[in-house]
Amino acid sequence: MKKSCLYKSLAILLFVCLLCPPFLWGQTDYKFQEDDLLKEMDKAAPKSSEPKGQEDDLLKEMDKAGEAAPQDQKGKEKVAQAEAKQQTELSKLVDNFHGSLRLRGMHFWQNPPVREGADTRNDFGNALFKFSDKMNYKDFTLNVGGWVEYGNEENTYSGTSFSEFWQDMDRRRRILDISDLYINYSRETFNFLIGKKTLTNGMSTLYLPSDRMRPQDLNDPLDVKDLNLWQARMDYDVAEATTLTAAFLPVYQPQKTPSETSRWMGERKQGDTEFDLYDAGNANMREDVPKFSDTNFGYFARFKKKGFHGWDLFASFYHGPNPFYVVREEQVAGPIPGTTQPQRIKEVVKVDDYAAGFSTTYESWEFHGEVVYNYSYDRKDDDYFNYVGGFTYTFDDFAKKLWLEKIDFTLEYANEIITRVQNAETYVSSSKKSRLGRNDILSRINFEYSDKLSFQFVCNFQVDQIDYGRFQRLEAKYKFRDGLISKLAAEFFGGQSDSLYGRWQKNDRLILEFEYSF
Amino acid sequence: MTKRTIIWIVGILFLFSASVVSAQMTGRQVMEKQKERHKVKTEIGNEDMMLVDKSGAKENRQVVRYAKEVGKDLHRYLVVFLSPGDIRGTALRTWEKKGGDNDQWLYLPAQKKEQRIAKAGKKNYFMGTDFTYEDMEPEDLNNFNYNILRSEQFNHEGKSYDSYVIEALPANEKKKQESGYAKRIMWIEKANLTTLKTDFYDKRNKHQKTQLNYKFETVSGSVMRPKQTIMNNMEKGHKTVTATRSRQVNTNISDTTFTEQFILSGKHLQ
Repeated sequence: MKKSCLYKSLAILLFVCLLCPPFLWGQTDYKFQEDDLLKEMDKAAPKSSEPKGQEDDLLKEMDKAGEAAPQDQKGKEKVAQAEAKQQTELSKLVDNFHGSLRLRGMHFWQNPPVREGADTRNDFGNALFKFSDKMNYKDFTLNVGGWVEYGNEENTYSGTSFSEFWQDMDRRRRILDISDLYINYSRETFNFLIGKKTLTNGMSTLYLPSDRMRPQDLNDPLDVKDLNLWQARMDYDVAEATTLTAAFLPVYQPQKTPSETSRWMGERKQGDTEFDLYDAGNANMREDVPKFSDTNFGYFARFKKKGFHGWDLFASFYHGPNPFYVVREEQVAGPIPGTTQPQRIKEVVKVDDYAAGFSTTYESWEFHGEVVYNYSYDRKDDDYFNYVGGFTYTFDDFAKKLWLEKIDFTLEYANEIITRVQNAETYVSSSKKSRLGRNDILSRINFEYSDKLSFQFVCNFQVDQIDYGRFQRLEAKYKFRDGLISKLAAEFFGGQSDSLYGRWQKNDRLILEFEYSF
Repeated sequence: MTKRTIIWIVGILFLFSASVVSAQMTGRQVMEKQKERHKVKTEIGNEDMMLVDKSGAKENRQVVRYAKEVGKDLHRYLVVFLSPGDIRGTALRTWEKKGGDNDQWLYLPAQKKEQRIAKAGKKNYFMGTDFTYEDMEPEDLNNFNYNILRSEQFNHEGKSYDSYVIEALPANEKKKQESGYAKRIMWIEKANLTTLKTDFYDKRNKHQKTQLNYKFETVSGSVMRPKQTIMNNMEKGHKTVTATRSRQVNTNISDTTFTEQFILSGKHLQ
């Protein structure tokens, strides 16, 4: 009996053990489901929207943050009065002071071409502090902006000399530079600006043929800085979203190019008759840069209309020194008395640029295009059309299938048509090789995973049979916190040895940078 | 006599039923009334914005919004980010257009120029917030069909509000394709016609996000605005909280405020 009882008990225990766990599991499952269902019901048919828990905390936090800010809903006057009482000129300057600090490191994984005196290091770094400030008085605003930068690249930084403040003739980058210094006088229908500021033009996205009044510091040709132009400019709103711009540009500012010892100069190419901005083979040439004089003034005018039946349009005109050099040859006294020798001189010639462009949207597409016609006086340079056309397409539904927020794809094609080649006595080379957008395909793809993390691929293929070249850049961007961004990028160059990108074929590099903006 | 009585009864019933129908507004009428009641000629709002991600990490932003009615139900908008430093000066301009796609431009300070935005991009989130470009566009009543689903007592901020629950569906195939949402459901309180809550459903009809509006205040006449808003994005586990610090309505804003020139001359940051 006892044994049978024991067996019965064991059998019951076994039964319980075998059956109950699944039952219990089933119960647990049921509870989870119920919980989910209740939550879902809560979401699906909420009868209440009380801010609870985290949301309540968030609202309170926003309340606290706002206590410091001026509270006013009744009118502009109170805010203005409160601000006038609280803010002194100094505190306004402090409030308007903004800047960023960037630390940048680069590693080139190939040695540069062997050249006498060349900097053969492969690791470089620099620190850049950018700043801007402004001061308002009635309708006037004084704006100041610039940078402080230093790094370990040889022959690149030139100290803080202001001796060439009006026209910076030094090839090197200034350690301290005031790139923006201008006064704005703004009224309802016009804005008058006098001082030093960038002057942008064009409506294209990656390559802008008409954006020529924009000298740049090309010491690192892929990390350029705008040098900005002295100007007196009037932007006048003649009708709704229709602006007429007229600018007087008294000082020609030459581009800055890398040092002859820099790896960006590539290999020397002896005996080449053509040259470009980076051609170290012509480093012994003299430069003839237009000085400050009435014959070298630049004039710019533009008509721009935005939102005209879904189209943005512009037409512009520029008369003045060309940003691209040509070469002339002169006979100068040789080393032996009574003899002469040829001397090549880089010269900036005078041109007229007529440009027009558009941007419009249709369905999911944004289309844009620009053309500029360059007319050179006295045939000292080529006359040519330079044009670009392209589009941007934004993928959203497709991007979401790839767990991305969005994908932007931009594709452009640029080319030029020479209508009249250079043909002037003693002029031996046109600006052709310095010019960009001659049979080029340009593209950019942005992959946005989130607001914090994004990836970008940029490429430029020069598909010209003689001057073929290619550039590709892959970049990952991550935002750590408010204002703090890091970028990791790889750049690849290739092509024919004296094309723009081919000369940098040993400059493939990895870049890491951190930037904090405030 | 009997015939006359029947005619009278039928007549009275007809009138009664007609009056009942007229008392029951359609979803469209509610939306039209709401738009009319809370319409202002101009509006400038200074907002603090807080973005909260899945892990609870917070980012703060300061935004100023400008709006102006330039024609009948035709508006222009400008949104400018004042902080943090990495997006300071970024601006979005919108011009509402009747019978066509709105014009939108984005100004990024690093590029020193504006870029026109195609409408496909409007489904995307604006500068890391939980608001899409589409959310920031004005509500075009002709683009949606509004159905009253029910009336209910909606508890909000400790009070119970008699509310319409209205469903907004894209009115045509074009809008259906353009929009990032299959539908929106709105809780609109009957007394003041303010939207207390909006649920957004994605293209697969999945509940994607909810916007809740708090602390409504009268800003001018019958016009009311919420002081605080939470957009809770369930899909991303992300929230955007906004708090209005100051608001001016029906003040004089020049048309030039909504032009590229306003931005390029730096006035948007003054």
